[in-house]
Amino acid sequence: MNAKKYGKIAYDGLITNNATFKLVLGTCATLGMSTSAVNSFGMGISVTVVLLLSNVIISLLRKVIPNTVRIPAFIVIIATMVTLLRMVLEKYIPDLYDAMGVFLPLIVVNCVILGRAEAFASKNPVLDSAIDGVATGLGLTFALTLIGVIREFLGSGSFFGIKVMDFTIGFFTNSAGAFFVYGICIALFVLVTNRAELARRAGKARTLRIPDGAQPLPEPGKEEN
Amino acid sequence: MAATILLIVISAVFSQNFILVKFLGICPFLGVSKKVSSGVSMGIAVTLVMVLATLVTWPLYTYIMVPLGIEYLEIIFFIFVIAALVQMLEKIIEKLSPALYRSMGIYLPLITTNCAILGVAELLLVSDLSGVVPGLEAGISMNLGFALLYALCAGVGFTLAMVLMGGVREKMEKLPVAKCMKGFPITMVAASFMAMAFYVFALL
Amino acid sequence: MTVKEFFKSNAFKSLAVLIAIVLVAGALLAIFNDILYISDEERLNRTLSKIYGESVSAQPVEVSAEDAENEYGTVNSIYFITDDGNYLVNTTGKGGFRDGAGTVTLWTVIACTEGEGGKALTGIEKVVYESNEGQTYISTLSGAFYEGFTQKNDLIAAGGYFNADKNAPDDLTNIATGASQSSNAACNAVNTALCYFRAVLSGGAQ
Repeated sequence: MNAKKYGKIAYDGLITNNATFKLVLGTCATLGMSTSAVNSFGMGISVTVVLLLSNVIISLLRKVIPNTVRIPAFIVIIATMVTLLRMVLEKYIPDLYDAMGVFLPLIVVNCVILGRAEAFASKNPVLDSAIDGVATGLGLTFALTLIGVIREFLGSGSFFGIKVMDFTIGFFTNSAGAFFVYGICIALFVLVTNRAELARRAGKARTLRIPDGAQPLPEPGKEEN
Repeated sequence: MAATILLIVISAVFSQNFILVKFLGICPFLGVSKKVSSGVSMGIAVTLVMVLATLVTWPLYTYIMVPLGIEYLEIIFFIFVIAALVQMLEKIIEKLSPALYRSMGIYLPLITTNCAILGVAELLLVSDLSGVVPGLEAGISMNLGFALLYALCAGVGFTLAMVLMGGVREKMEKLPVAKCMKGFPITMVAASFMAMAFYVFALL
Repeated sequence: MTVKEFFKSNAFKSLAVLIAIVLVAGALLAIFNDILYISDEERLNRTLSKIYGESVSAQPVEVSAEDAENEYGTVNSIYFITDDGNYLVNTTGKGGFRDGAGTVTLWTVIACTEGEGGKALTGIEKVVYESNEGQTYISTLSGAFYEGFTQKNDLIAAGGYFNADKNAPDDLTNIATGASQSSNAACNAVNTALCYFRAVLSGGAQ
């Protein structure tokens, strides 16, 4: 029962309510950091870490924080986590710190984090909130990395920094390319998940009618005899 | 001096446009740009808060936080300043002009978590003006006047992008668009074409 | 409302919780700021490592005021790389575009060996572009051009200087086609570093 519940939380965070493609939240970071696959992966993981920590702390404190001051309290907690992350990155991964620039402090106002705090962590137990944080974060990381890979490949012909093709299309490295790739990715993701959802429902409907190993229903007329 | 000011204006409004080039404040850009009128209201509200926030955060950082050595608390301080300003502004506008409040006030609460505001406050923390205005010769140190001018122009650039997008989306409503491209995807593609136009300013 | 009532009210509780959170957050950050403090030395090493291309540690070397300016240009700063004994020199070379008034600033890595009576220059390991003044065609100076400075170590060790003289080219001519004046300033920047090394850093070996 529990495994099923946690699975649903994870599935929701990763696919059904994918922050980047389905809810289209936290767009600034997505567009600004997706110039290369490494940068967008770094950004995704950074958001995931902040999301996990803030979700856990807010969930722990959910009975202590009065309703009236909950938003300022959440913001302080998130801002603290982001400041911590910023210190750690500056000390140990200075390259990523430089690449993220102004988008690092802006994780504070990333609507995904405050959104999850408000909608999930402030109402659910710690473990659920932690899973929700990680799932939402990984969903976002996956989306960001996908956009980063596409833009890096088309824009500079490389894959995670390794040169694989001998062409560069400037359009994809500048801001216009970011909007374009993001838009197309949203459309494709929605298309694919909607198809998958339809197929799943159709499959479910079929198995309901003829369960595995069940005898076909006798025809109504014969049963009466 | 005049050339410096002109370069700041052109850079902040066009070539380094907050929405289309720097990707700051995309959420309201996608959420509130369905009509020209709402775009204008949101733009003015953002510009107002941007200038006021800079007026508080820049001196706070330069004259209080740096001498005390507490730069690391900047994110918490700034977000608090912005949240408090937005609350105050909302109350003041509600008192002074109920009509204005009806048209603009509803956008104010959204501004607290608008990255354009925190973004401008963070970007302006450079010691040299050329750090925020590419193409400017190094050696002009940042001061409150330049910071406020930059914040104002960034707000104007934000409003410009909102209004243009509002116009595009009003027209786009009536067009037949493929089902999977409806909503966000087609808006993004339209933004992409606008960004291309603004990109040209950076080449000049 | 009495004092007692106030302390039991919701407003007080909200305020107390908020202040407590802010204080805890502030204290936490202050502790971590101390633990994760990055010293000026570390910051300098990071900047230099980026120029150097690998992680190194360096010590600043004082530039002697009377020798800082020579016929080729000006020495801005010098760092001694403690890992391999090389010198990293930042110099501005004159004689660029705009009637010789423009300049090019470069980082030059000078390799040397400890010899009797001082240090002997063995060559140039790397040249990295930093900035310029008034050079319109600076982008014409490609990576191959800067690499050209590292190919003539025998002649450099023998005491030669680079030139960008397209009319009388010799073995030490390094010139990027289409930007001869910027090339001249770049050559002069490298020469400034060589000249300073021979005059001061070598300690009298040459």
